Amino acid sequence: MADGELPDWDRIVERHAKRVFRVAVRILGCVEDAEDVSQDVFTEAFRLHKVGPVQSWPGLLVRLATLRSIDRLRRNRPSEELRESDRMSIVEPFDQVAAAELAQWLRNSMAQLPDQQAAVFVMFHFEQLSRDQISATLGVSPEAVSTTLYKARQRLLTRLAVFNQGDPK
Amino acid sequence: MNDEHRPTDFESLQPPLEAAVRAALAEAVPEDAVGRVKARARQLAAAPAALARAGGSPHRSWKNYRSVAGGLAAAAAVLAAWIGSASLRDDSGQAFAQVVEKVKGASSVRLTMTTRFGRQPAISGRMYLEGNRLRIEQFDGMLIHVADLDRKQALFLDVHRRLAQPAEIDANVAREFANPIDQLRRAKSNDAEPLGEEVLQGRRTQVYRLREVDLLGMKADAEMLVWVDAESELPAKIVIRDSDPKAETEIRFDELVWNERLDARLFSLSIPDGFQPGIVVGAPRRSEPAQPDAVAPDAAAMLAEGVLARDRVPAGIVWGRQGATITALMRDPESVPPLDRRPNELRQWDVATGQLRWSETVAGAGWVAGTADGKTLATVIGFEIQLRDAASGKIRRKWATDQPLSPLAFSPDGKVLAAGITEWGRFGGSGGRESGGVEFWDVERASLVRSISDDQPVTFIRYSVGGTHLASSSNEGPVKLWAQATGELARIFPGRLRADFSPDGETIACPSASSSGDKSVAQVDIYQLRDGSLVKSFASEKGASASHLLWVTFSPDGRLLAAADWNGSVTLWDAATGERKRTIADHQAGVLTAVFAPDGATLATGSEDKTLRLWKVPAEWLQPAR
Repeated sequence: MADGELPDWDRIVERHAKRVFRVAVRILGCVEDAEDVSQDVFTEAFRLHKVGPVQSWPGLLVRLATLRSIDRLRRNRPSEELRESDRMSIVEPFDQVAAAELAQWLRNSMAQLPDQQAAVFVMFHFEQLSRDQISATLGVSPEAVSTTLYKARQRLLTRLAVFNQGDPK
Repeated sequence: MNDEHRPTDFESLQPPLEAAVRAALAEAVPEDAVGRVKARARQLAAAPAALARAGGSPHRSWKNYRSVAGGLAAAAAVLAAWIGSASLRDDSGQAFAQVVEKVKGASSVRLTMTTRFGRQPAISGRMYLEGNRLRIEQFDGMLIHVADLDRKQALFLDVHRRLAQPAEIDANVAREFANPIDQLRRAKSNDAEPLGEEVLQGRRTQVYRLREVDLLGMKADAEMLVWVDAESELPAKIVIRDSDPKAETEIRFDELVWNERLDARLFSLSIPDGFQPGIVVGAPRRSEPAQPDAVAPDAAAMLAEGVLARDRVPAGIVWGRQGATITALMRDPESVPPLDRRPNELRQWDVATGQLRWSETVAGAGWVAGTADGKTLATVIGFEIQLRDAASGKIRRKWATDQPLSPLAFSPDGKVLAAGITEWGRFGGSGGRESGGVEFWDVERASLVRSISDDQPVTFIRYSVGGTHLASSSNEGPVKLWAQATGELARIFPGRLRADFSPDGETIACPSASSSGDKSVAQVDIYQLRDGSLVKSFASEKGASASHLLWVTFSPDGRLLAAADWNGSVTLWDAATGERKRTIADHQAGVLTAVFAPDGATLATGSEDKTLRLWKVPAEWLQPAR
């Protein structure tokens, strides 16, 4: 198809839909939820598209996809703090914990990170954006990206320690 | 527990964290799901207005919107089938060529259609097609679209609410109709492939398959199956679907009845008896919403005077003292947190000419307040309060604070600037707990006079008429009334968000916190200041989507009460009787604020649709009550 024939919006969708969906499905780990969130993201993006030029479509869409997915993650797990069962059930070493379980643990934990930390963590580790790219996408300084990423990782590691130890000693 | 061991633990924990990330990365990205996402996203462009009307609740309105677009797309698909099959006549088999001739010669068709997207519930309806005129009935006939593609006119009917909306089909929609047709014209025509015979409701049919047809504008390899009645040689059933069975996206056209004389009234574009003009979800609208003819006829007495901005969201409005100028804080909606870096702007216009007088960058500022004499404006950027010359927008004085401040209000005498403390906890990035309060600053000396602390972020404040009290509220409420002199909490009202004092100083109007039965009806409660008793409640019209009042304001003479709603409407009531005077539904997205000019003759509204609009208040509403 010739590029010129497509209206702008179609081109945007064609180019970025997969990425939006990928971000969502990695964060949410559920195709249905990810489709829902992708819908929301494009709906929101379309409103912006209607009212004015958008400087960076990949930036906007990745940002929206990340933030909306994290929102959804939180909603799906309302105030689910570490329960007793979380500690007790996992006593085997990590290499024996199924990958799926690890991914699920990560999602649970990300839902409890502050917005910005979760967003930076996702962009860095899931989308493999560079520090500068994240800084441009979120509109924060590169230094802040580094700090936020460090904080996010520390928090996750703390949770991981609890997860690993089972019963506190 | 054992904090001292953690650093060493962390070393060993890095690999498992990486493993968890890898596990999340390994999540499969099914192509069919991506296809569905694309198909739905593309459809957004097919019904632009439906979406714009969605306001703050895109998710909720999606269903409405999709049904409309689905109907239109389905209609387009039938047209495509009609004309597309016509394009096959040159070199496809003789039998199908005959079918094509018959279809081309047909005068009309009526059919039932079922549209299904993935796991969403199917949408079914009836369609009538005659020439380039069509009628689609969906939801048991409750939502009707009549369109004449030649005249580019359409009529949308909401049978349930008895609303009718005439509309022009603009270039966008027309193109959406034309697109699949063009595609099929260009398609290679020798792929009408006979699949075999099938008996359909007792009639023998020949089944053909056409490949690479268009599915809802998606350039996927959809296929079209056509069941041709052996006797009449006309299609009896058509199915268009994604070639990938897992995609579950499909449009079926059944019970086709050809060449029947259809009642001309089916395609009538005039408003039926008993219908009111109104907004039916999903109507295409023209790009210049301020045109008088875009306003529903019964609102003709209250036309928009003008639209002042289109690139940013007017989140705060301050009128000049004589109503000659208007200053607005224009928020950049495309930014995400942190809030303090948003490239917002403060702009002032000349109301008579619509000319921009000045514009100042106010990074991150979320609020603007003006003194009663119209000489000074106040903004907060970061932890700095700025007083600006209202004539030029330049900063005259500034000083630092130690609290995250957001809402601002000058006392009526202009001597004190009150500022609400809005600490959003973790969202604010400073890691604090959610908290709030109010600071009172002596404008002359830039010194803190008094500080009140509260347990919720204060997102709105307003001085009472005499300046003795201050109302504060948070997003969830309640509305609290504080005595300025002592800092004591005087009273609590069960409202939320933006409240306003009546100009006579007797009552306060608050958006109701308790939701009435119907979520799409907004409610404003008026309380006596003296004893806190509820005087009366005003209800709005039923909105297009769930209501969430963001702002209420009395007119300067106290005769009108206006409320701005997140669902895009602005309602005006007679403040004395509670009679609903007008509902403005022209904004395409949530309305954040509504402020009357000092003479009460103009109402300014700022909306998430990036427009700041001025409305003329009918003169007869301004005359003295008694």
